[in-house]
Amino acid sequence: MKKKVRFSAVYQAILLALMYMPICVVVAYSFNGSRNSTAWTGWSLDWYRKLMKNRPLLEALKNSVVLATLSSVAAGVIGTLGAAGMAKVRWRSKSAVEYVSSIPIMVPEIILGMVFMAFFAMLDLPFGMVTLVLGHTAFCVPYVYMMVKSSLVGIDKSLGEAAKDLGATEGRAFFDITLPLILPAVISGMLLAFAMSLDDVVISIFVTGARTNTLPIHIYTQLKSGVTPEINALCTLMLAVTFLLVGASRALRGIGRS
Amino acid sequence: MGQNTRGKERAGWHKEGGTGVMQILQAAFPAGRPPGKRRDRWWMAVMPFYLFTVFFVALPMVYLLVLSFLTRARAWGVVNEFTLDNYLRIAKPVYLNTFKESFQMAVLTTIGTLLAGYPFGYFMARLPKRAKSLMMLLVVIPFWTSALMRMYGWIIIFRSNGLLDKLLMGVGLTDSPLKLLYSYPAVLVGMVYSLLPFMILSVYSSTDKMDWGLVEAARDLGATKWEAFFTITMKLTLPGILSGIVLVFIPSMGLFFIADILGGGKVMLVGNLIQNQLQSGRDWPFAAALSVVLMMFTSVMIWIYRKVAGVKDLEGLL
Amino acid sequence: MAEQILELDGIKKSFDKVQVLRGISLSIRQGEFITFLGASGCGKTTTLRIIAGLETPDEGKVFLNGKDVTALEPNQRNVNTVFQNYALFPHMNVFSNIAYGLKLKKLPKKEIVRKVGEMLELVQLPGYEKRMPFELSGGQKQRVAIARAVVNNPQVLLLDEPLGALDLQLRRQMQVELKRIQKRLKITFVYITHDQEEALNMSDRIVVMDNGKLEQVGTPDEVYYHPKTSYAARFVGTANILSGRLKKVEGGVAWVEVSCCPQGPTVLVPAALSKAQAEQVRLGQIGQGQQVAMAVRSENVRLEKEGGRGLRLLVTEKNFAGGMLRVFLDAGALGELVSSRQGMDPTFQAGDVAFAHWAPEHGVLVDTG
Repeated sequence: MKKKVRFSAVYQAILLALMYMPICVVVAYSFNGSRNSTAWTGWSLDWYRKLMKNRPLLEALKNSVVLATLSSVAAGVIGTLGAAGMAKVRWRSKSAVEYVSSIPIMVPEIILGMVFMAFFAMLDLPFGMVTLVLGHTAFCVPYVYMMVKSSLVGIDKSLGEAAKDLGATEGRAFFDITLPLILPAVISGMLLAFAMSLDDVVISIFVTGARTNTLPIHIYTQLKSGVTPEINALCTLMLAVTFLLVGASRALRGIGRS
Repeated sequence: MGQNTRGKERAGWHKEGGTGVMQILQAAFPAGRPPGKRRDRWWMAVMPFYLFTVFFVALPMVYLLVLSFLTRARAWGVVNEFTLDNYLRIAKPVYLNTFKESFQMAVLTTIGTLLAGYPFGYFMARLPKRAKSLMMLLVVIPFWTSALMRMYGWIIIFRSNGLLDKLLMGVGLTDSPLKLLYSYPAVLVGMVYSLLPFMILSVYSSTDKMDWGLVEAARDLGATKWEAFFTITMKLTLPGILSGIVLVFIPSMGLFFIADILGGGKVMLVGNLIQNQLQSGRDWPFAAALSVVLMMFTSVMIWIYRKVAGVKDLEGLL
Repeated sequence: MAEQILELDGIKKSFDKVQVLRGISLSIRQGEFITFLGASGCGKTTTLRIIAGLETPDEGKVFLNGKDVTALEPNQRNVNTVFQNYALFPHMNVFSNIAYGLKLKKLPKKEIVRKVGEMLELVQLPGYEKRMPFELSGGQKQRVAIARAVVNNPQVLLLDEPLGALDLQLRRQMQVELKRIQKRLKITFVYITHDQEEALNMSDRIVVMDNGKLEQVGTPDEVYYHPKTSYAARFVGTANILSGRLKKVEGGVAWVEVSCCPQGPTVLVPAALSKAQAEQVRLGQIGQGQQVAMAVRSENVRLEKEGGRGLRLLVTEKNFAGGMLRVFLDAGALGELVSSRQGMDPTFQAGDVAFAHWAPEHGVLVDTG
């Protein structure tokens, strides 16, 4: 029995090490002093300094943050209201629409990218931030929707009824009672959406315009051509941001469950 | 008789009080709600969700289908002429081969994640509660870090004279660089690596829900450890395995950028083919046809999964 | 007689084509403690929800203080509810929970604080303002839920099985408490329960419901001693129901001819007639030879080993329930008869022959439901 437990621990440790290896490599090389990233020549913060001066890259970063903010907020509003409303209405089309809304996270990303590209071109929308936000919102909505929906299931129906019984209108009851109770799920869904949007390459590549670069697209093009180790530094910074977001999202989910 | 009049009054409320939009919507989405519901304004909350889903998910998907039957314009864009050519073209050996290769890659990726991820998810579910949530966090973090960043890490490891070569040459296993980057194995490693968390989480969630009493009962009835595992544990965690397979298989058909970055153009998957058609070839109808076929493929997978596993949601998706 | 505060007029309601309420009509007086008693699924909760405005009836009307409120939203009715699971807002402390209704009425802050304080005194939880619901015990949650509803000074307070989740001892204690609060505030209580003891202890009037219909409306005494229908008789207390043929009526007592087996010997058993029934007999609506049913409570069934009075039956089983000896007897085609009198001969054994009889005033003629 003792031996088995040991084996499982070793197995998990090895797999985790493999999972973190590429990440650690990138973080380590971001502090490398050498121009040639294959060789290690000692610690340096050069790449972070150069990063701060790299205009196109900073521009891409700004675009990405704006994009992720806009799409996660849009998804937050649409998904939250949608989930709350869907729990109340009794339309026959309900389950079909719910199913369709989850398509963006069910099909391979490339199909979604292709679909949006063709569709936006047909509508003659100007490719750029607008198309990016629309595309990203489409795959952010399901995350918020699903999180809010599952947290609504856990909320006692009689709470809203009690509020109405005590004199609240339907809307007032929602804002006073339901919304505070699902808020952790809303925020955690939005953070998730934010992280997904910030990280997305595939859909962005198809729906972005010639002038709008997002960070993942920038990195992607760099990876395909020549890599500058600034990318290491940038990835390390983004990793730190992701740590914060995931931590916050989990903390909120924890609050929501208690 | 007074009651009947009231009923009529109430039924009439919608007609008088409903706006034009409301009426159109009611016609479009026939309401199955009883007449007893009063002044229900929840439809307003649902509207953004409905409209967004219809206009930016359903319509684009329909357009994709339409597009796949249209003809490519000579210079740029599409001509509104019905054709089946796009689908017939897929049957050409060169494209069929891509599908075959993609399928092969997807199968290998799925097997790889299953072999690596099943024991991990299983062991994870057997951890004490606090260790469990820590482990969960450890599995989820790489999942949420930039996929590109992780690919870049693999480039550093795989490239000629990179970390792996240095390590292997250092211990004397090889004496020249392996040239792993831009090869089939590199793409496979990248795929398995990227999709592993899906498998781990799926297996974990179904193992965690399992009633361990059943395994103990089997042991009590005389099964050996391994017999109990194959007859009870495997069967009970099957939904998790299946959802893991679906969650890994579907994206692996379309993850073109891993093949692009780690395969350096040597490995051609359906995703890459679609991307090429869109960006260099500018043949949108053909790309649409490829997408439709790929989607039908994934829908069939999900359908089979639902039939076999008998569940509605993909387990462990979130 | 006090004025009527609440009136239900022919309420009907179906869910998914299953009829839950089949025409409920009832008047409730100001200051009354009225209890809807019935098994789960009898429609009592739906009735309450219709009064609260949480459901709308398919047919029928609800009048509150003479005003038709059928179409009004719950927030437009001066009726408050104590929910079965308390439904305290988990993200608000006790003060905010109780103050919620008052805040919606935009009362001045000072007055809200004063009223909430008063309410906490009333429910004996002074100083609990800052506690969160999860810090409270079941009984305390119950008190807060009552305070939260009562603080709005409703015309009618609706209570949906409020004591269902509490243990027996706490339940007895809360019964007394609820009655005290009701007497003090003089608010009309509409109370729902499936527990006959609760209903009998607290109510001014009891409404026995079954299958979406009112079986009987009356004081606890009436319902207990003079059940109108066989269902009411069986549900309130354990009553034996015997059906037979009406043989004769003598001095307000009906003699019912029953038989344990189709061709077997018949026995006459007595059942007192209510005034209404006596009137029916006088008008010939109940006549000789008619099929009737009668009820007799198990504590009123006397058993003797000899003497030949009443029904000759076979003892099938005996047990102790609540410190009382209960003897089960096989009454053949009439079903099973139960006797559980205090001071009964404890020597009855399964297989013994026993003679069962009762005083005429203990038998009641009932409608078969």
